[in-house]
Amino acid sequence: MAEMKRIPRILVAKVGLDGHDRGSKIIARALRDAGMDVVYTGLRQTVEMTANAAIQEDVDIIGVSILSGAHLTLLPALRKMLDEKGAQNISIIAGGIIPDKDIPKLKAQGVDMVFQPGVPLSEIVEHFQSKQR
Amino acid sequence: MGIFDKQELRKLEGQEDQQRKKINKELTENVEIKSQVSLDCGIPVKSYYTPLDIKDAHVCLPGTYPYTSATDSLGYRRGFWAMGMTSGYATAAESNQRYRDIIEAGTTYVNTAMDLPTHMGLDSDHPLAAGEVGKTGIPFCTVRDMLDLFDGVPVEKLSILGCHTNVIAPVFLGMFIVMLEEHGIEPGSFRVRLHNDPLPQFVVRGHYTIPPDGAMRLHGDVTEYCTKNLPAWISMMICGAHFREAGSTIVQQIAFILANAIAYIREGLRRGLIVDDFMRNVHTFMFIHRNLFEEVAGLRALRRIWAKTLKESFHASDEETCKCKIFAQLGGSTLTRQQPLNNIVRMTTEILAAVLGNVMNVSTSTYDEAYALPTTESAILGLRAQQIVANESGATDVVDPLAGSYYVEYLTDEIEARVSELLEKIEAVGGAVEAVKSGFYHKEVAGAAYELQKRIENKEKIVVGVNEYISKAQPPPFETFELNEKSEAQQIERLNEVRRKRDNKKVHVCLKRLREALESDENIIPSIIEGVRAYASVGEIGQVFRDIYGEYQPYTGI
Repeated sequence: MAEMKRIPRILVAKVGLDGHDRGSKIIARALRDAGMDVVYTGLRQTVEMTANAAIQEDVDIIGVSILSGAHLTLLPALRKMLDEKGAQNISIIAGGIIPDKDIPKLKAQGVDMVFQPGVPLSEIVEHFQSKQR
Repeated sequence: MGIFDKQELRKLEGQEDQQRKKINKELTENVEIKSQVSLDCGIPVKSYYTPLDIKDAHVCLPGTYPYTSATDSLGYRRGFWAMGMTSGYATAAESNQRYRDIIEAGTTYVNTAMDLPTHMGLDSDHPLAAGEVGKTGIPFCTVRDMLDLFDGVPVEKLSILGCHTNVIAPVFLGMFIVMLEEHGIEPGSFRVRLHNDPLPQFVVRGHYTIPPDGAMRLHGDVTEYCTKNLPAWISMMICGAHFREAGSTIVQQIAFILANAIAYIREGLRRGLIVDDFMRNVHTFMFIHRNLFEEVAGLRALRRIWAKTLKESFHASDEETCKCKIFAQLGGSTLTRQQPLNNIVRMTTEILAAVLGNVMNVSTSTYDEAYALPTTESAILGLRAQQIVANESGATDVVDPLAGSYYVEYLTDEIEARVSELLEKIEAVGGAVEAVKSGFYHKEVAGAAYELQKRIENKEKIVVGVNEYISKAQPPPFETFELNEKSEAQQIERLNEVRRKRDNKKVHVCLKRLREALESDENIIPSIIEGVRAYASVGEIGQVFRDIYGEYQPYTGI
């Protein structure tokens, strides 16, 4: 039997109360058009709901979108919960309105990569593809 | 029939024929000349327009039905549009100084920004509020926060006081009444503008808590109460704006305003209200984006379709009802993170578009939009930009100065035609509430957003500094706003203090009354006002809403 290559599985998540989903939906579509398996769970996902969905769906990466300023609370909490549930191998990529000065803090707390506004879709898609388990 | 001489048009046709042949030959020979240009909304545009493109045009004098040009033939000579911005962050007490500063600088319109928990009927100490308090606006847990915000602020200098609350609008109705009374202002006589436009929030922006049917009931109660008791209030502002920011086209933006307005009108009529009583005072909300001509034409088309809809479909007899009063905000999504000072130029052309389109109120998004909340400096620059356009550009000397431009008149007609087509589709789906429930709206917006993104990715649409004229990333050449890290804890402490000091028995009774009203057909506003006066919290009231109507489950399609 020919070797079956795993298609990258991505969860795109709107964590917290922020309702701006334009970017997350566009990225979800672009990742899907690039051949990845994408799950989008809709607005108002808690950290716990997101961690559970990521584990249940057996994803490689969670792409989290936050434009509300709550990233320093929610992203480290997500990393912690994933690790507590034994999902250290699921990586977190973040996007939204995240100031430069917060990026090192997020990376130190387990966020792999942060995309700020205006990054070309092709760059984002390539990065997701390169992170495949 | 039209206004052009038939003979002259025939002459033009002949000339036009020849000109087109020349152009086509050049385009064939020079492939680098752009042969196809189209607007974001899909309308293809030619390289020039003539009377032939608008040969059936009629002139609509400003101030005459259907108000395509303007609702008023004196325009800005009566006074400039209300100039201002959305403002608020951290806590009410901290925002108080910002309000004083911007009013002193000449702001005549303030939109009180609230934080996300408030928008959704959650108190600052709710588990879902952790990390969110004060980040996008002010946490308003009780009327104490409203009173703190406006303490010593000269409210009487404002011509409009707004708040973009939707499902939680009933609570803000109560809070504004108490605050105005505190300032010695008779509440019914002051222009407070509530959004009270819950339908878009289920599709874009996400400021919802209960499902659409419950939200429509609350909307109707607010409208009815304002119509009967608060004559100067603008009981609803019907938004296309949030759809636009989520990626929809100008055609969708206008069509969704009309479709949602129709849903609200039907609800008002169902309650036995007279259309001229409850619709004469409402506002509409448009976001202004980059193509000046598309924006001006869109604003003109909106006025025309609004007037026709109110008169022909709903038999409005008061001309005020048919006059579409448009509030415009500059599109935050058009302001880039890259080379942020470029945004000052974008803000200026967008203000100019709004003014050439005759809006009655402008709110500026600021050059640091992609970085953080505005600083006092960036907020005041936004105001100055409006003041410069008003006083120095000449755009305010004449009403609708682009009237008669073959291009702008053509675009107005074409946008109107496409809006009418989309309105028919929404009606066929069952109207706006069904369009929300079925995902029709969501698919429209997501599709348009993706198409627009593709245009940017493949450079069909150039955004300076983002996909062309790119420079090396640098930190911004200005201070960005920093939120006080301690404000969430401070807010929770303040909330607890209010809870300790208030008459909790009275709050309990008020919430019980509210529940009874909500379970019946009774208008809930009187019991809400009582509850607000007793310092019942946004979260406590929101919970009563949720107990009766349940929580909305968001659409998950992409």
